Formats: sequence, C-alpha cells, structure tokens
Amino acid sequence: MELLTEIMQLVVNGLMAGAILAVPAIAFSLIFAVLQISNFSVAAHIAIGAYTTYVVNALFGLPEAAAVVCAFLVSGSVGVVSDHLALKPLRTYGPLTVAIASMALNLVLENLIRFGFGNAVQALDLPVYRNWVFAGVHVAPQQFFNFLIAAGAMVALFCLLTFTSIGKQMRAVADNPTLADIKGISPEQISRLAVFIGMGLAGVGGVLIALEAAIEPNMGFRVILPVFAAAVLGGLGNIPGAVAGALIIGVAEELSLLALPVAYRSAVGFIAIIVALLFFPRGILGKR
Amino acid sequence: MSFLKVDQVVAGYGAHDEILKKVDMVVEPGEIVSILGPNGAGKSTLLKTVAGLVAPRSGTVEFVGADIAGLRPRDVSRRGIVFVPQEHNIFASLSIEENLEIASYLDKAEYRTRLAQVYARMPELADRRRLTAGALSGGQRQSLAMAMALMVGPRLMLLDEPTAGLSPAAAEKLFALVRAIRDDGVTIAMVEQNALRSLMVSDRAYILVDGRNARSGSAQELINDAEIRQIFLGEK
Repeated sequence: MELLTEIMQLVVNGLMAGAILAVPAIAFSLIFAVLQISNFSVAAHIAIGAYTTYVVNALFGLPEAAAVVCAFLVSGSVGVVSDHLALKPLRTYGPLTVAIASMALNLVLENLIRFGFGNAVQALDLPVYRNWVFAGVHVAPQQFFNFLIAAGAMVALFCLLTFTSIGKQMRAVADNPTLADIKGISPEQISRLAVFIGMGLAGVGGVLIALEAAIEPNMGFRVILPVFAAAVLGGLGNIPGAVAGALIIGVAEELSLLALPVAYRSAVGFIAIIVALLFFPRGILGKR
Repeated sequence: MSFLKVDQVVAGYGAHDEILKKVDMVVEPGEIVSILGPNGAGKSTLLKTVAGLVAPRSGTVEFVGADIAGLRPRDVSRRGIVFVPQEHNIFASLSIEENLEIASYLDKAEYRTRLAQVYARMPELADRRRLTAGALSGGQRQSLAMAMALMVGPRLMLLDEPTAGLSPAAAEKLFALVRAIRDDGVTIAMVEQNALRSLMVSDRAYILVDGRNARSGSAQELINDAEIRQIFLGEK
C-alpha cells in the first residue's frame, strides 16, 4: 500500500514536471516544424523568461500573471532578434550548421544574462501555501497553478494553429514553404512569427521553472536535454507529440527514482532519445 | 502588347547551369498553349521562371506590359498568374477545406463564393472537405491543386504536367477540366508529356529541345506535321 502511494506520488509529480517541460518542448517543435531547424537557444530563452519574471515580480512586485505575459513578450522578442542576427544568415548552409550555431548563440545569451544579473541564484517572492493531500498524495498549490498555466499555453497554441487564419498559414508554411509562397504567403514573415511564439513559450516555460525552483543563468541548459528528448520522442515538429513526450519523460524521470540514485535521473532523457530513434524515428505520434 | 511575353530568357538553377538558352514564348488571352519537348528540354524551368521560382539570368518576362522577371512567387501570384507545380502542389497535412482557404489568401473577400463554385464543379472534394489532403488519390489531389488555383480567380494558369501519374480516365477528366476553365475566360499554359493528347486540347504549342525553341505553331498544324509525329508522338 505504501509503495502504491509512493508510485502515485511520483506519477503525479512526474505529470506536473512533464507539463512544465512540455511548454519549451512545444516551442522547440514549433520552431522545428516551420523553419526545419533545431534551435537549442531555447535553453537561454527559458532563462530569459525566468529573469524577466524576476525583474517583474521580485523587483517591481507585479503579480505572477503579469510576469507570464512579460516573459512571453521579452523572450519572444529576444528570440526574433537573435534568430535574425545569428541564425538566419547561416540558413543556406543547412540545418546542422544552424543547430550548432544555435548552441553558440545559447552560450552568448546565457553569458549576457550573467553579465547583467551575476551568477548568484535568485528566487521569486512567493507566498507559501500548505500542500493539498488526496489519498496520501501531496500536491503543492503552486505546482497545480503551474500545471494550469502550462495547460493554458498548450491549449492556446493548439487553438491558434487549428482555428485562426495565421495558425493555418503557419501550418501551410511548415508543410510546404514554396507552395505557401505561390499562394501569396510570406514564409519569412511566418517564420519570424513562429520564432516569436516559440521563444515566447520557452520564456513561459522559464517562468514555470522559476516558480518551482531557483533562477540562475544556466537553468535552461539544465533542462534542455529532457526538453529536446520530449520533442524527439513526440516526433520533431509534432506539437501534440511534444506534449505526450514531455509527460512521458516527466513521469519516467520520477519513476526512475524508485530504482536509481537521483544522479542518474538525467539519463532518462538520453534513454528516451535512443529509444525514440531506434523504435519510433518519427515519434510516438508520428506518421508522416 | 502581348498578354504574356517571354523574350530571350536564359535561366538555370546553379551559377553555371543553363537550362534555358534564350527561349521565347508568347501567350495571348484566352488561349491554351502547350509546352512540349523531350525530358530535360527546360519545359518546367520555363514555367518556373514565369512563376518566380527561378530568376532569369537574362532576357525579359512581361505580363500585360509589366516586367515580372525576378519577382518573388507571391508577387507574381498577386498579378493573377497561378502556378500549379507538378509535385507537392497541395498541403498534404491540412484538410481539403484548409487547403482551399489558404489558396484564397490573395483574394479572401471572394472565399465563400469561390468555395461554392469549386465544390459545385468538383463534388468529390466537397464530400471530403474535412479529410486530410494527403489521404487523397492521385486524381483527387490534382483536382484539389486545380481547385486551389481557381480560388483566386486567376488570369493565367501555369500547369506543370497536370496529368503526370494519372490513369487515362483521370487524365481525360483533367483535360476536360482544363478546357472548361479556359471557356470561363482563364488563359492556360501547360507543360505536358502526353504530347498528342495535349495538342488536341490546345490552340497553339511550343516545342523546346535542349533549352531552345525548336518549333512552334498552331496545335492543328503540329499534329499533322510528319516530323513532329515521328519525334514526339513516336510514329514512323
């Protein structure tokens, strides 16, 4: 009975953590879908979102909801500018060159944060709530709140892509940029928008991580492996797939604690990538 | 002033690659013009150069008196020229209706009216409007690609091998559709492998060989020409 409760607790924790990972994972996948490149500077944009929250919440005392919106706008804008300056000129050299350049860009952005805010770990000014307990399973209200923001961000992106004209244009460019151009759509403009929304979401992911843990310049880099693994597991470019991948990795990371020391937790991401590439090269939800 | 006038166009894909070596072509309003020739003659490249997918290295492309050479594809489309590529001519991951919606991007105001017209003309698309376009058969895909072109009320349609890979029955249906579209006042230039069948629906034709103009004339004249029949239609 105790083991069952422990497993339940780990699954709940895993789903909560997975939902947070899912936000930068869908960002990664969205950018991949539209631009056909892996942009690892998602990591730095997670940190940019978190530091934006820090400025808005801890320094200016604005509420969390305002922090989420600011993080989205700031990370999205930095994403568009950094993509334009650092990655766009390299696009003709192929996706691998751009992927490597995005890692370099990530280092630059991360160190710009260090330059501005120092290496010290920062924390947000948050009220502490008592945990909710359901049948022996503990849930922190903050965790649940984060889960709701993550779910909200995913639903918003889904609705944008499914029901709006701009979302359909984005899917059209992702599917066939040349035909989209023939039909009058500017693939460059749509790509810019995809980077804005993608990096904005990465920033929102950063807010959620900041609310859960601490803020430091390399906080995004710490999670980029499971984020990338989630996107690969779901099939790069597949947005519902990235959500499923993130939830699976979140739960698998927690359950690994039953059998392995905490230090091996990050191995889950590597194993997930290997499993995905061996058995589901197009992702668990992929069929294209 | 010609409707479409391609004059001494040189074009290719790489820096030193010349596929079109000074090609001329004129298309007049209301015509169906076929572009024929052996593989590698530059037929598709000629259409792509007009459509803005390949920039000409020299020569001019004029559409109703305006120079359109080197314009981006979307700016060529904005002038009323719609290119239907041979392959990848639909958005396979979008539904049929989403394809038609995206196709009407340059003329959104007419979306409802044109959607009704297209569905009336191609009921097989109307029945499947919520289906993913990638699930369509070859003939249905081609119908969708044509329907997408009609969503902007084009003045000139450029068709790149519209019957490639289709069954003879589906190809017949497509040629009938091409004629019907022309009868509605749309000018058509098309590249075709099926030379005889294509000449039979066309008014005029250009024959390219190795990136150069080899012959041109009325379709009737070319069909009856012994040399043409031998080279392109395989008759002795």
